[in-house]
Amino acid sequence: VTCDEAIRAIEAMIDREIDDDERMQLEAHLAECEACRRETDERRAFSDQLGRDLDEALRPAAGAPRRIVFRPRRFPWVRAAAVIIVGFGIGYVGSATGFFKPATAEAHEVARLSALKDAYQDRNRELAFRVEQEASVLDQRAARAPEGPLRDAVTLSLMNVVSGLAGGESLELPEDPAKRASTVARLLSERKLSRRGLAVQAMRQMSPMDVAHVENQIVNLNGTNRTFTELWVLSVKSPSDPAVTLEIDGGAMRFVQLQNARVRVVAEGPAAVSKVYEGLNFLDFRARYPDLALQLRLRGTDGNFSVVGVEHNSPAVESRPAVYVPAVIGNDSNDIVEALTVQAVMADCARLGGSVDEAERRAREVMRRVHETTNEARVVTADPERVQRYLASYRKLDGPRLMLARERVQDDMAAEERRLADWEGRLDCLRKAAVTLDYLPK
Amino acid sequence: MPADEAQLVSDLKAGRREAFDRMVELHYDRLHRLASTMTGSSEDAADLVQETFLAAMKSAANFRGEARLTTWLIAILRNQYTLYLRGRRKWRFASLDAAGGARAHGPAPAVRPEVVAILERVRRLPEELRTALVLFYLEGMRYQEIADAMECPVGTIRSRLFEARERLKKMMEGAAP
Repeated sequence: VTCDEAIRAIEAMIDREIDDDERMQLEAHLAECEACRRETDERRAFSDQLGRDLDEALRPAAGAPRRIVFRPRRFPWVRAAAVIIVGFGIGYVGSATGFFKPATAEAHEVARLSALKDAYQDRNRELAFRVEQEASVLDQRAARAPEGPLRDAVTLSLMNVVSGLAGGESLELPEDPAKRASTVARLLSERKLSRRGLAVQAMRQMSPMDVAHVENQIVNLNGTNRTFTELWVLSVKSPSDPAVTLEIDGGAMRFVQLQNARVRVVAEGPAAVSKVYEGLNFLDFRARYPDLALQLRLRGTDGNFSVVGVEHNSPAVESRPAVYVPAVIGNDSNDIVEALTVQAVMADCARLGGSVDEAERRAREVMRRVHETTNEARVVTADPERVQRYLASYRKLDGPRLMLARERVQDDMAAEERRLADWEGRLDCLRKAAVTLDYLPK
Repeated sequence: MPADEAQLVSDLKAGRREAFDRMVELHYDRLHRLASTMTGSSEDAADLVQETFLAAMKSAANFRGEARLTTWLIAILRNQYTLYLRGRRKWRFASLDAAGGARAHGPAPAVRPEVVAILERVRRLPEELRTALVLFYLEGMRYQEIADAMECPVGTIRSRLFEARERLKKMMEGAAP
């Protein structure tokens, strides 16, 4: 047993989910390895504390309302359930005795579900086509936009969608860093969006070691590919020197903005124990610590902000939204578009010399517009002709077979529904990014 | 399945109102806790739980009784959460209004700030990791039960819990001085 293997087994042991064989091997390892014994104690303490904290955080409040309002008189579902149960009954009897055909109601329901599944499939194909199309249009528009925070934001939103288009494919990158960088650059330059998505995903496998080689490739790239690669390089370099340090309350609190846009607040507690609060950037900090942000009256965005009512500039801060790159390449970024939009609009305002108040006012305005860009969650309905066609074949099935058919159709439909949510999300992301681009000062 | 649960399931299938009330009484709190970590808001969680019970009620006739009622309800809750996400893709960051600094949602005020911080970190985990964590710690479910509820192999649950704790530790290290 290696230490790495032991650590997973330690967790299982702490969870009381280890089998005898594994336990024996682990105990033999622990007898010889002091580091893993220490690890066991630390992990046990962490796990116990986590359990207590979660319990405290999510304990149901006394007298919390239970909002299930159920006032049945004659509920349709009672009748529907009765029909299905009776239907099954007749189906079983029928198939056992050979006298009856199965329940027509059940066959009809399975036919309806099958036709609905087909409708979902059609809608998914349509959305896949639209996403490709709209992404291409946005790509060209973004490539023509002037360099600046808005173009950065739209590029990241676009790459977020493009990354998802690669699907489940994955790419083996060469060992040699120079070759890795050129492989990624070549893929990024391909026309097909799914191939570019593969390149975006492959960037997950790259590290600070690759930065210099990727930087060399920037000259070979253009449009959004170039912008995205520049942002990736910035996100990996990520300098952590302070750009601005402010003392508040006679030094009881220290506000620091780092050169990679991170915001850190250090508060001295009793007996000079300091507590540190940190966020990826202004927006993130405000979201994580709303009360503290309110107390410090934090406003603005990275390069242009105010603390306790006094405006500051931190020209050293690279206010390009490189902090979002990990979310984009990690494909874990459903909600970043709105945050990027606000970041971009505020940074753009700051660049043009606007005050913090002006920047916040514009951000609210653009957020209103983004929220108005509703997604196209359309109700998908079954085509009656298809229902009839399916019904013709399902009528021939006996009860048990019909039940199996129903289960299979329901599973397929659930998968199609998940796909639909995914496509709708991507289309939504593209449309919101387009709103950001519309915001560009003419 | 224990005998009283089998009776409850059979009553649910028969569409008895008392059975529905009993199901709500037995499972409301645990579903609400899980929903709270999914939505981040007690109000939305209540809506999600309500939709879950309504969906359960509608499909009670299809419940095959192989799984426990809890695991079945959790599977429905997760499906409802997917639908919820489709309808709601709102800005995750705090309000820009100065007056909007007050929390729109969150745990009860009596909860200590350190605990609030833990909860915020848990909420930043992907849904599969978060759900596994909550079911394990709060519901005291075994790996196998969680695997049934999340419709995946037991080994996946073991990896998800490991991954969840690793990520939480990293987040905490990131927040430390």
